[in-house]
Amino acid sequence: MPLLTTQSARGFGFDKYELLSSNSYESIQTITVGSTSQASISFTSIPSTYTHLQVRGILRSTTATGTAFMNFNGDTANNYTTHYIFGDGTIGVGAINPHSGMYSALANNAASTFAVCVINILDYKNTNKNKVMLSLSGGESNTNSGGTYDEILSGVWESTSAINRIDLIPAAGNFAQYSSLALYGIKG
Amino acid sequence: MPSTYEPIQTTTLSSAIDNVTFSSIPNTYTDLVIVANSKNVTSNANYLGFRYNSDSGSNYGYVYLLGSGTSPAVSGVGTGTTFGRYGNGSTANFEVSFLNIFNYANTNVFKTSISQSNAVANYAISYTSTWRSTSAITSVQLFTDAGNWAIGSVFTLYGIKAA
Repeated sequence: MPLLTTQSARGFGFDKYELLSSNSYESIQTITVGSTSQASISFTSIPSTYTHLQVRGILRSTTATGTAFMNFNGDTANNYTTHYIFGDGTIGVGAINPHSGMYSALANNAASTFAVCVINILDYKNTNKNKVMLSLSGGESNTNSGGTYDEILSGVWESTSAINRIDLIPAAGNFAQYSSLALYGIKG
Repeated sequence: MPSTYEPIQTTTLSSAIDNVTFSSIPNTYTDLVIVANSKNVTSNANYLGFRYNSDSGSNYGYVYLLGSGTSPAVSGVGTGTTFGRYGNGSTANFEVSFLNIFNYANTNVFKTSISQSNAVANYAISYTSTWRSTSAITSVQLFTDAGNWAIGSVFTLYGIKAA
């Protein structure tokens, strides 16, 4: 992953963009929905050889726009909290606490139009910390309602267990054909 | 497992110009990321725009979320536009913008991007933009809405390859 130097990340030293390591960001698994829609997308047997995880891709729901829930290790108890802010022409903020999953990524429903997400899950195998994620997600469907959002989500899983499985479940309907999520591992 | 986040091309401005184009983009990746560290020389510049494959038709849309230090935050939308948006038009500092373009070579989906940027001392902003085309993206033109970018502005294109 092209992690930037602190100097350039601050907006200084414009000539200092550089790769800290060209081998620190690796593709683990990609799941693409086929012609039969899916009720969830699941990454199982996640290796413990990385420091952080990133899930990124495109999502579309078969029925309605909504934000997909994310669970870890199959835990569907009320052990998750999410806070979010979104813009759809106006501003919305909210919290989901406690809940059986954390809001993680938009899935919109307009034809051919897929919402996108970059979900960062930090220190996923550290058994001394509850697990947190930060997600950047959005969709644009040529209208200011029903599928046009830009949102930032932050969530916590109240568990110190190492994460070995990630499930994403649409808020409405199933994930439609061509929805695709890729899991990456980031080494420290 | 193979490393999968690779630099494709970098442009560093040695003169002040108003656009940069990445062309002949290979179709061997899953996503693209463009990192811009740019500063504008004109005070009335507002954003960085982009077009794919030289398409200047009304085939784009965007929605943004902006925080400027005052409450509340601001959001806006633009539909049926001739370009997507990301970044800002800061003149005070070189700002940082990350543009993620997803599934750029997938001919079954419209192309959607999401970006995060800062305008130092002004605001932070997130954009989502969609190009309503299923064509594979082979070129990306970045441009500023007013004036030129300053010498030393840097634009880098990365490719991310999924397993």
